[in-house]
Amino acid sequence: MSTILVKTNVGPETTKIRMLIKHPMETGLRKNKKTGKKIPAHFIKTVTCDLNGKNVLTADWGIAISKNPYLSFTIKGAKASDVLKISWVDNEGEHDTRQGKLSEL
Amino acid sequence: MTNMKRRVFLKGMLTAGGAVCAGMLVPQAVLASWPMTAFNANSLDQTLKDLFADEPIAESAKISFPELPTLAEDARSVPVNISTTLPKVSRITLLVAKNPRPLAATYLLSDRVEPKLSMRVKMAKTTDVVAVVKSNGKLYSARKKVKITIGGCGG
Repeated sequence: MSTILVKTNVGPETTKIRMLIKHPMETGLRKNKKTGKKIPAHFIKTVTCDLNGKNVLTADWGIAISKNPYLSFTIKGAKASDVLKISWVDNEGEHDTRQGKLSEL
Repeated sequence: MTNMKRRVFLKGMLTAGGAVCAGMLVPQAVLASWPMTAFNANSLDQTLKDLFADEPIAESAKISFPELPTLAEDARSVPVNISTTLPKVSRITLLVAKNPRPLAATYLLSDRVEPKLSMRVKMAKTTDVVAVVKSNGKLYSARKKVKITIGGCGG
């Protein structure tokens, strides 16, 4: 199972992309209340979105992005058969990718 | 303190997606552009300086936050959407003025993407949400205050 949940809404002129990524987005500023130790930072740094192999949107994120990040954006003039690829990578080098036709995501 | 309903809802939506795909190469190239100095800066002025050097930033009424609440229900997850009617937008940056690290996100947009983004951010206290938009090579900004009743980043 992917960590990336995508919903697409292909319209005649624009296509709305909504995504939800399962990730703790830990800031590194919080303390464990029992031990008093800092909880290490663990957050997504970059999300890339490619349409048919061409980059359409790159997001660089910091620690202020909420847990289980949500992002939505709109692509102009996309077809249902176009292939969207979404990838993320975090500060620990973990990563995931989801890819598929707009009509099938 | 824990908002269980929301937890369960999110878990349900992301059904057991915990395992990160193994065996795939880390896309190092995408990390290269991450502006580390700006993300680590701890004041709004310093962040803007790190990101844009001394480029002038003009206030613009053409940037809006259509659904941003004036009072946040949950400081750990404040819905922010940025929309602009400025032409040729290549970059949109979101900052939360008084967060410990003000820079929340910076987006590079191709001409295939409309200058309209939605996301959710954590806010440490009542402060301004600031958007900086690069349009036609020039910088424009807008801000809106969001009131926070319970801390978002302290846990």
